[in-house]
Amino acid sequence: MAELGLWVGLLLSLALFSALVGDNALARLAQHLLVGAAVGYGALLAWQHVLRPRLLSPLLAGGAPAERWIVAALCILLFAGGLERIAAHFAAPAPVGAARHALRFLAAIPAALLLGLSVAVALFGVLQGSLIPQAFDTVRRGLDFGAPPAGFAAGALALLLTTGALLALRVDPDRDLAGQPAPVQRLMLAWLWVGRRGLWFAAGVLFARLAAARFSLLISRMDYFLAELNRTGLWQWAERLWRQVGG
Amino acid sequence: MPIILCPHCGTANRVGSNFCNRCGADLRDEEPRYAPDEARPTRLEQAARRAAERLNPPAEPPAQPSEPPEPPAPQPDTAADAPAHPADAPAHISEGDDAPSPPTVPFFDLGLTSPTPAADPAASQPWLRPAWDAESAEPAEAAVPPAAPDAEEAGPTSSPPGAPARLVTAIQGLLTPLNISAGATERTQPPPPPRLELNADQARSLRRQLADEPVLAARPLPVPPPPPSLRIPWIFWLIGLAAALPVFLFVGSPPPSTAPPLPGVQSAYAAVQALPPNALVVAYWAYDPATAGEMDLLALPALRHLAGQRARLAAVSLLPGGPATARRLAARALRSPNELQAAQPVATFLVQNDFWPGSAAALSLLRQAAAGGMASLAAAPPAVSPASQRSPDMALIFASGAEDVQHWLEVVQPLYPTLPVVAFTSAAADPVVRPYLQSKQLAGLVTGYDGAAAYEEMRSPGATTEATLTLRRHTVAQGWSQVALLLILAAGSLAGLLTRGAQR
Repeated sequence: MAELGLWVGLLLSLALFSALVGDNALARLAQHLLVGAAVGYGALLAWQHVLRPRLLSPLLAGGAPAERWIVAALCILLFAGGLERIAAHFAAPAPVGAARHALRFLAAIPAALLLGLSVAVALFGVLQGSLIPQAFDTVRRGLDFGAPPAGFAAGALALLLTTGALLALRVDPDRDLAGQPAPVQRLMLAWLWVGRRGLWFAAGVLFARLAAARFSLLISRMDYFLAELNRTGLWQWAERLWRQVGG
Repeated sequence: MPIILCPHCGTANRVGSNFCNRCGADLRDEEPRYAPDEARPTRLEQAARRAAERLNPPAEPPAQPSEPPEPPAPQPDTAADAPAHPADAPAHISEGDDAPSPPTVPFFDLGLTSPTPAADPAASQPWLRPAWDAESAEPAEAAVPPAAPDAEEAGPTSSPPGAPARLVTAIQGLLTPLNISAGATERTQPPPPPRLELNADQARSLRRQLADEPVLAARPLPVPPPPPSLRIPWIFWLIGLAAALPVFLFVGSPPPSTAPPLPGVQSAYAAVQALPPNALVVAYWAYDPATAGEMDLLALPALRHLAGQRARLAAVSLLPGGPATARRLAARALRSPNELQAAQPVATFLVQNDFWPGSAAALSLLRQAAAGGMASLAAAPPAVSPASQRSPDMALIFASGAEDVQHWLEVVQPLYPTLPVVAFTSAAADPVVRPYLQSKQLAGLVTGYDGAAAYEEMRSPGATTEATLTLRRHTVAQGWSQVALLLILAAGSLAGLLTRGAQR
């Protein structure tokens, strides 16, 4: 069985990589299998580790608190609403009856609760976890006038690039600088010039680290192929063939 | 002087003009018309003349007035009654030329009993004169011969003897003759646009035609070239070859890199090294098999280090594949025969491995019953006494994306400000996560294959284990791939420069 899994994994990986040559049926088949397996595994995990132990079993055992029944009702509403939407998508267009309207309205309640909770957590978290600590840290470190020249220059450069990047994203020279005096225009254009170069540099850094991450995935996949070829014996068979051909 | 009225703007142009002086409209097909100040016989005058001619054929044809008449006095009614469309006025005047043939009997004849010839019709009917001024003229009765009885008393059917036949009687002096003219002036208002009555389909069609680009029927529109395709197979093959050669040909096994690692690796190693024995570490597992190719390089050294420190790991994941990945890595970290520490069962190392659905909002479950939230993760095995249960000593984040690190720092960390957090992330997340290291929200940061190699080198300096050899081979392949990418970028930039120069 382990060897079968070995061969299936190798063949499916090769099929997926065949998409580099062009879209073909094997690549499509492998993609469908991958997506289907991932979704099925996720659904099974959700049932085994979440729905059954945390919702269904306590309800069936009895004595569950009232909020569990409310949660169950919301789950059923959301599920039913989702099924209705899917069915309506694949069915012929037809006027929506009162019952379906009511179902859609009720199913929107748990969806709205989920969305509202997620947004609230995200907003509050951004404030307390990112914006406020980062702002305080920036103010605390900021421009240190007592620092050595190199440190002060680094801080000043960071301030210049940050403000220049912000201006480059917000200021339109043709519209915002049209009525300004010439010295102000020259200063702002120079500042914008620096800000744009800072943005280009930041984009370059992002691209470089992203490329490194993707190369890591590619190299790891090459390592996997080599390991699989060794474990399946194909590599040794190819070596023997090469020796025979090459003499 | 006859003029030509422009049919488009109504401006008066001299006869012989080919184009309007004001708007440039073509006047070559227009007929000359008479200016309002010219002695053009009005419709009434023409009818009266024709009636008079029939009754008393003149010896010589009536001549057109030679001297230019005085311009008529401005009359408010005339302005108010001026046609809105000057073109209508010329058409109105022109109707006099195209007027139907006068009836054999004037239709407004109200009883002419004794037709008498009139030597000069205008003599008795001064209102027929073009320059006749109603305000300054004598009453109409004055035109009647004194001997003639009063017209009103005589009745409409009588006329004084010897006087020319009147076309209209009994209204002399009651009506002020109006000098009906075209009223064309140099300051004519432009004609209003014609009112179109269109239905919905016609209006839609008209809007579409007006919005579309005009098409020259005799010339085919140039077809724009198709945009360049971003699928350039030879680039992919070149980079793939550069990555595959070191792997398949075992090209090079360089010594450990002497370049200093990125900031954060040393502090991450130090934080894990400082853990006390039997420490409880919470691991937020935020990557699945899709990104395991890179993240396994980072997670394995960390797990081996934790195993060497005899720590216990409580893994929680928001991804369905996270727990399986954590279990696999934990088994692999304890399986290596080259490790110096004694083999440890996975269950004693990975004490908890949970899947929490609900994305980032599920992390707030850790805030529930603040002290119990985290402690509930410390599901101590039966062999461990309950007294050993305590709050975690450290939090590790294994994330392929920056947002997972941010979620932890935003949702969980504020509740446990003294808990040290070390992040192991993908290289792509490094630029976004590094500010959190600078602000001391992260105790350590290890990113990418280079961070993993540096961490492994710190953990086992100079070792030639399978892990270190794999990382070194990976480093070589990364170098080759990045050189290939730089060559492609340089070639593309050079081609772009040459092309731009050629276009100039």
